Formats: sequence, C-alpha cells, structure tokens
Amino acid sequence: MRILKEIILQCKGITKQYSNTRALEQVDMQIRQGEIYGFIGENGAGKTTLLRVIAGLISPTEGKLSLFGKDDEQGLAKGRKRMGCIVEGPAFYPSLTAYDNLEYYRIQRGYPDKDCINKALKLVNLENTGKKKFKQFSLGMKQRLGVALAIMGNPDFLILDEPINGLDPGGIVEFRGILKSLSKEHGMTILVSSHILSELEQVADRYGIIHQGRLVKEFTQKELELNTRRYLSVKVEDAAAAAAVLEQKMGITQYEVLPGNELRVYSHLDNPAEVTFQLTSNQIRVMFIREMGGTLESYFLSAVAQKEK
Amino acid sequence: MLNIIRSDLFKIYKGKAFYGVMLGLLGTIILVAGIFKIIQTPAFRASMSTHEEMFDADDIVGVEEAQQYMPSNGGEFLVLMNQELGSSFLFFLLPFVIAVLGADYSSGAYRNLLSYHSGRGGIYAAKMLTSIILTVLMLVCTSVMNIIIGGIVFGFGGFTGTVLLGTVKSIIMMLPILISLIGTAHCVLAFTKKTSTTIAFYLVGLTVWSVILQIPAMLIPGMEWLLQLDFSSSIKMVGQYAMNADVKIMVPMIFSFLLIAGTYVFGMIKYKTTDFDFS
Repeated sequence: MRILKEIILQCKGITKQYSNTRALEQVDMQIRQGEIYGFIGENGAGKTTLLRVIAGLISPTEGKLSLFGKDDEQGLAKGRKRMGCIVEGPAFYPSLTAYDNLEYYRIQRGYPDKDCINKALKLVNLENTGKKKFKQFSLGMKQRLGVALAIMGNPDFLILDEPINGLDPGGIVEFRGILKSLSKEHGMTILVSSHILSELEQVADRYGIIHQGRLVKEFTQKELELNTRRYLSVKVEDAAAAAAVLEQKMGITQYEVLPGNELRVYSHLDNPAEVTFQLTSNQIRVMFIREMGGTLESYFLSAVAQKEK
Repeated sequence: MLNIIRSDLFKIYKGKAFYGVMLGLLGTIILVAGIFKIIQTPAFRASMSTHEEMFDADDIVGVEEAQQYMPSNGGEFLVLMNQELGSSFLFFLLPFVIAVLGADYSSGAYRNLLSYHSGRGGIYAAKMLTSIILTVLMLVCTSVMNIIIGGIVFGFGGFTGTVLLGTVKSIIMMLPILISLIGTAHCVLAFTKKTSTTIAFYLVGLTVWSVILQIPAMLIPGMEWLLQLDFSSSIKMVGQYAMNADVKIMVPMIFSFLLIAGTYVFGMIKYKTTDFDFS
C-alpha cells in the first residue's frame, strides 16, 4: 500500500487580478513532503506571482492557500516560519559581508545557534569570502548567498525562484548537487521555478507548467520520461508484419504500433541500420526510419501549444 | 518584534552610514564652535568695528551687541546649540533615519523580512521603534558632541545642573515632533515603497508646509498661531522651553501627537494590506 506523504503546499483556485491584467487564474497546486517540484513557465507566465502569494508578499484576489495543512492566518504565519525563500532573486544589504548579512537575518529570525551561518555558507561554498561585501559579489555568489539564507534555519519547505539565473556551468552543476543533497539528506521539500528547463529535468520529481497565469499541466518525472522517451520512428508498408519481425527476429518487445503503419521502437536507438536491415531482409518496405523523442523543452512547448489550441 | 529591532541595530552598527553622518555632524559642530570663537577674538572685533563705521548701518546689530549672544563658556554653547539643533535634525539627520527605514525597500530585503515574519503590524511597529531609537541615539550623541566640543573650545564652565537638565528636557520635548515627522515619512514609505521619493517628499514637504502656514498667518489676523505648527519653529520653541518654561508649546505638542497617531494608523493599514510586488 502506498503511503501518501503530508501535503506541504496546497493552492486551490488561486487567482490574482491586477487593475487590468489577470496574473493568475484558478491555479490548483499540491506539493507533498520530500518532493522537488519544478515550476516551469515563460517569463511573465505567472511563476513569480504565485511564489509571491505563497511567500505572503501579495494576497490572492481569490482562492485558498494552505501550508503544512493550515489555511488560517495564524497557520500560514507559522507555516512561513518553516519555509526558506528566494523570490525575485537574492536581496541583501550591499555594504555588509556575506557573514554579516546572514547574521542580520539570524538575529531577526531568532535562530539561537550562531554556527548555522557557517554551516549554510559552507554548503554553498561561500565560507571563504571574508570581508568581501555583497555589492562586490558576482551574480553567482549572490545567488548562492540567497540559497544560504533560504536554507539557514533548516526549513522544511524551500522555495527558489529562478535560482540558476546567472550561474556559470560549474555553478549550475554545483547547485544541482546542493538541491539533491537538501532533498535526499535533509528531507526538504523544494519548489523551484525556472525557465532553464534542462536543469529542472535533472533534479525535479514532479513538474507544473504555467502559461498565461494558468497551471496547464502537472506531471511526474516518470510521466515525463515516458512522454519524452527517445525512440525510432519507423514508417512501413505493413505495420503488423514489421512488428512480427521486430519481435521474432530481433527480440524487441519495447515498441508501439501507431495508426498509419507507424511503429515506435524504444530500443536499438544506437543501431537503426540493423532495424532497417532486418525489416527489408524480410520483405518489409521501410518508408523512413529516424530517431525521435522529446526533451522537457519540447514537452513544455507541446503542452503550451495544446492549451493555446 | 524585538528581534527585528535588534537586527536593524546590528545593521546600523555594522554599516558605515551612521558613523559617516555622525562624523559630518561633528564637523559641523566644530565649524560652528570655531566661527563663534573667531568672532570673539579681539582682532575680528576690531576689524568688524571698522566695517561698521564704514557702512554706518544703524539697523545692523552692532559687534558689541552681537557679542552678548556669543557663548562665553561650554554651557552657553550647549544651550545655544540645543535651540538650533532642530534645524540640523530636520534637514540633515532625519533624512538619514528615513534612509535607514527605507533600506529594506531599496535593497529589496523586505522580501526576506515579509516572507518569514507574517505579522506585518509587528514589522511596521518594529521599524518605527528602530527609527525612534536611532533618533534618540543621534540626539544624545549630538548633545555629547556639543558638550565636548563646547568644553574644548570655550572651556568646561557653565555646565550647571540647570543646563544639563535643560538639555535632557529639550531632547525629550523634541522627540514627539521628530517622531511625528518619522511617522509621516514611514507612512509615505508604505505608500510609495521608494526611499528616494520619500526623502524628496519629506524635504519638499517641510518647505511647502512652512509656506502654507505662513501665508494665512501673515494675511489673516488672529491666525498667527498657525506658525506654531511649522516644524522648524516648533522645534526652536521646544528648545527654548527647556530653558524657559514661559514659552508656550501646547499647540505644537498636540499637533505632533495627532500627527503621530494619524500617520501611524494610515501607514499601518496600508502596510498590512499592500501587495509587495514590484521588482
């Protein structure tokens, strides 16, 4: 029996109306404990607006938000104390050092353990910045300091808005490692928004696609793998005969027959010549064979296109 | 709430701005004391007497007469500065307090604050209290600097119990007026969410307010009392009241308390309900 984990975040019908634009429209979202939720959308789709609602920076026009199962004002306030956030990029006092900026927030949040600053700085590799002021930091360092603040109090729920922006390739790899470690070793639930989809693809367990303020699709990593799985698209004259050849002569079981005498073969991606050879050797005319399949990007684009239709 | 105040005091302690402003003020006090000292020298008096004869100006205060207003010891310098302190606070130090108050907006750090501390009423009150503490701190530091510089330049005489008590009294009496101005600025900040706009509004507002009051006060008989609502005048009056209880300060005091209450309520309502959604 599958045990359902605690719901950390639940949005029900969240709508945000500004004077003449609707930034969010009836957004329903649910995140369970331990998940890394990849929140995908183009610029201006409504990602940051939803994160602002969750962080309490703005109030929704309609809808209900619940954190850790509580949706009343007090419950939300308590829930937010269990959250770590970077919304709209890292924001710190420019003339303070990394340590002093975190010390400021440690005092403000009442964390008794002073060592939590060093631990957080170490986790994001900023422990040796010494007297360098925030204003002298590179964008990547600023992003990492933002993550350090977000994780400083060991939150149960982490919200990261476009955290990969400005990171160099090395920084992105490092950051991916940090996210995985926070999720696996510290059991944190993470909501991470990005438009760099290839990066989300490598860390997220579940995804939500937002488009023009609406959550158009939610799917798991498994569903994504299934839908973006690479395959050989083979168009033949007789699909049934071709399927028999694939099974009996080549031992291929991972394939699908589609209407229009098309087959999708999920193995032998590295050797399409062999597939062609076997089919033609068995008098099956091959019209075309090519490797196909998607990425999160193509899946995202097709989901958005479907919604627009 | 206490943690927010403590953290803001930590930020002020770690930053350079407070020390810079205090250094600037120290320089100003030294300059003023220096000018007073130069005016009192026999050479300067002789030179001024020559000028007086040259211009034969009857309506200009004579050098000998002017000497009466010059401090002859540190205590007198302190009293004089207490009475003139307000204008430096209005145009020099309070904009700095507003800048400290608005630093959350200009750095974007309000996002970190609000996403953790959901009680916005508490945040608003804490920020207000921090700025009051900062103002008191600056008033005390300024008075201490006045005592030290006055003592060094004019000698440490004249620091009687009355003078020192008068200084404490003037700080206490000045506070409601200064708090009312901070409260107004804090309220404007809650609406504009921009430090620079608020400081500009504050400085322009002070001047415009003064003009608005002066026109009816000069043109309509019986409306002279309006001048008591001008912040520069009321601060001066409070400074004088500390040494002379005959000065009437009821009107500016009541006005200050009403302004504190009004701007606090308006600012708090706005702060509690506003969307923090600008980048």
